[in-house]
Amino acid sequence: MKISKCFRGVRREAPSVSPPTELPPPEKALLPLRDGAGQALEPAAKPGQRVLRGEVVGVVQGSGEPVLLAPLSGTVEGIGSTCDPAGQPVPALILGSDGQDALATAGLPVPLAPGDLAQLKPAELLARAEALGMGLTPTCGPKKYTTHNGVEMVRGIKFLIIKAVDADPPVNPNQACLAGDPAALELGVAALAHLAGAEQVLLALPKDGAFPQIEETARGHRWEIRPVDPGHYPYALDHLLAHDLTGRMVATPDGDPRDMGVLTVGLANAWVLGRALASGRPADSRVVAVAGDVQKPQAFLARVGTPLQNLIAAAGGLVGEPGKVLVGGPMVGAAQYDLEAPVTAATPGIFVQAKAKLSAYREHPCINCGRCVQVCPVGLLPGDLSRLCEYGQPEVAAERDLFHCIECGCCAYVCPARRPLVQLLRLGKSELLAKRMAQ
Amino acid sequence: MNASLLTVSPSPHLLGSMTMRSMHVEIMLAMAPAALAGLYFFGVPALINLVAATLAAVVFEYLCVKLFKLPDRQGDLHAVVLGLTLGLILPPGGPIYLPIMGGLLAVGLAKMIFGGIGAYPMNPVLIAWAGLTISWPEQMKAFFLPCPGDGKWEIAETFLMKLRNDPEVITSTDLSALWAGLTPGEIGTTCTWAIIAGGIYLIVRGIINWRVPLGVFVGTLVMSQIALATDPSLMEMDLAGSLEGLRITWLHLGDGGLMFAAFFLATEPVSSPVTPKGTLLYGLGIGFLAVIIRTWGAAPGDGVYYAVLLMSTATPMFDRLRPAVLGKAQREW
Repeated sequence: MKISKCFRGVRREAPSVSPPTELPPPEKALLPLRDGAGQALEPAAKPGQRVLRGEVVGVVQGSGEPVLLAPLSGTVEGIGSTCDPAGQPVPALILGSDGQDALATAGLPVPLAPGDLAQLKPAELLARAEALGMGLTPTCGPKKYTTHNGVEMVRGIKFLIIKAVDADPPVNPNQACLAGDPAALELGVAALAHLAGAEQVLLALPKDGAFPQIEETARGHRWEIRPVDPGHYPYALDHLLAHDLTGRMVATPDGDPRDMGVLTVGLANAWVLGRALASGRPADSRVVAVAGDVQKPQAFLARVGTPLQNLIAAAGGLVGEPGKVLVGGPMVGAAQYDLEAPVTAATPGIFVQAKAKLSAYREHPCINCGRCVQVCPVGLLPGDLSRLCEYGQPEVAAERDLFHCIECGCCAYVCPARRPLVQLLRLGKSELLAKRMAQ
Repeated sequence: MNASLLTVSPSPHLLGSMTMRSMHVEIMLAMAPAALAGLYFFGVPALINLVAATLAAVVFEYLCVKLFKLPDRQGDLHAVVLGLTLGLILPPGGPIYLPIMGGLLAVGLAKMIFGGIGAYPMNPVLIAWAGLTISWPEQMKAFFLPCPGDGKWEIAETFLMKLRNDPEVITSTDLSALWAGLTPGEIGTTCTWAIIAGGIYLIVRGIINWRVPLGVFVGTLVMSQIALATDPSLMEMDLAGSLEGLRITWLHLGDGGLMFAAFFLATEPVSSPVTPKGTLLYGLGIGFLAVIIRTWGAAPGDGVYYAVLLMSTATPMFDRLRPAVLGKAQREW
């Protein structure tokens, strides 16, 4: 390891590992009518209609692909509104539970035995995951490129990285799954390796834990175990982890590790996939960690559509006066104003801050100490860029690689002058983008 | 639960524990071993100098803030650090107006006129030191022999001053005593081991960049060996290339303010560069210039301070040596 990496990033406490607890389905589920890629969905069930768990209730506008499954059985109450993690309003389907949690009888695939995996074609496996409501195609499916003469091509995946470390500790869905059911984990990882066609599977495990069962499984499948420091933020972000483990550099800001033949998937998602494939039940639960100022920080297996406040209540409620509730961790999480907002497929967890622990920024001049340069994981000069953005020169900042900033927030974390560094960088980016759009 | 309003703000939602104030407290902690060694070696005169310099810096900062109606940032303790650092590089035997004038020069001339913390181009402590050295060269040479038995302070020459006239000190000096601080010199710069202990603390805490001291040491090593091989009076010693020749490097590192400058003056945040390559080159430049000025310069005082002043003027240039950006294609088509 290079000496400079010791000083890069920030050290966060790696939380202890406990298996996720299953939460009962909520009384009312809110299902945002927008998929992970931001495409609008249209409801496939009318208000008042009775639906069973696993029935299709939402399809992609235009193509009609069934992507939204009912996470519980009950009645469609209508279309309301909720907010996405960034705080923007989204139309949402409101589903009231009938308390029976009855499973749909048709449309779901049969349970998959681990031995049958090899007989399925990757495309069939992908279709099966889609039918279970596990929208893998945009993130794990083949990414298409068009060559200059118009031929469509797909790049092969050489490495599949399974992350058992979390991007933003102490919100730790992936690490919590290490203590989960090993058979489902094995099936999930094997299925991902099969559908991606990965030549090598790398398991990024926390470096100072002992996971005998997982190591045993990994030996059986010839998966490689790579120890990673779970508390070294932000080195568990997809493209930084891909760079560390494979040496392949993903282009920022719009690159994808798949461009370099690397696919990174969180262990939590692999586990959910494995559970769904093995049981033939819809993959409508997600591992959601609740951390911070709650009585009992822990990970839950919660149905999609569960309101955030149910999670906080299940974790024993708040400690102290409520300050912030974040979707995601303390470094990159998005602050929420509405605790009715639902858990979605992309929610890693929530972090709660008591009012007394909120931090404040100040109007202090930069003292050029260079701590932000020492910690920046991508090698920018955040202090310099922030001054340029603050004084209305984002063009100059863009020449100095402003757009390669990954907004991890390490610079603002370490700044002794408490300057809002990453916020100024974001401001510069948005100002410049707005200017370019106007031209 | 919904009755209470939640706070909404952009990420990150956590801040590290370091503030300007705590950073300055840590810098003072790191200087404490050197200051205590100075007090042990030079007793009451050293104490008077340290207290006077610190008080002067704090008082002049207060006056500047009041007179010029500047934003009040005295709570960050920067003036205390400036005063203490200045006190540590003053000779113990100087008159009382040296630390007081030094505080005025550091805070009034070098810091506040340029716009306060974050804005000055060169280390205020060194500007003050240079001002004092040029104004009162004789008083700035009032170095005492450490720890006299009978309490009578005796003015003596430092080894660097002797080295100019008599290269024989390279072989005759007791290096372990020199590094331990048993030598005439400035209050806080004689005990090299104490300075190194404080410097390592700052590096581990991520307050100073390890590349600066490393650069200074390498620069000093290379340039002192070049001096040994090229300077006519040093060539007479016929030490170039031998293991004995390394003694001149240890002498340069151990005597005068070089070690103190490497850890506490060259790394002063505002006037030093921030890029990895830049900091290394900056350190190397200081090492080179320090030995050049010490060996062939005619200016009064220790050459390393001039070296830091000169190199900090080049800081904007070093900050252009930006590191490679992860995620940026090496070649753009």
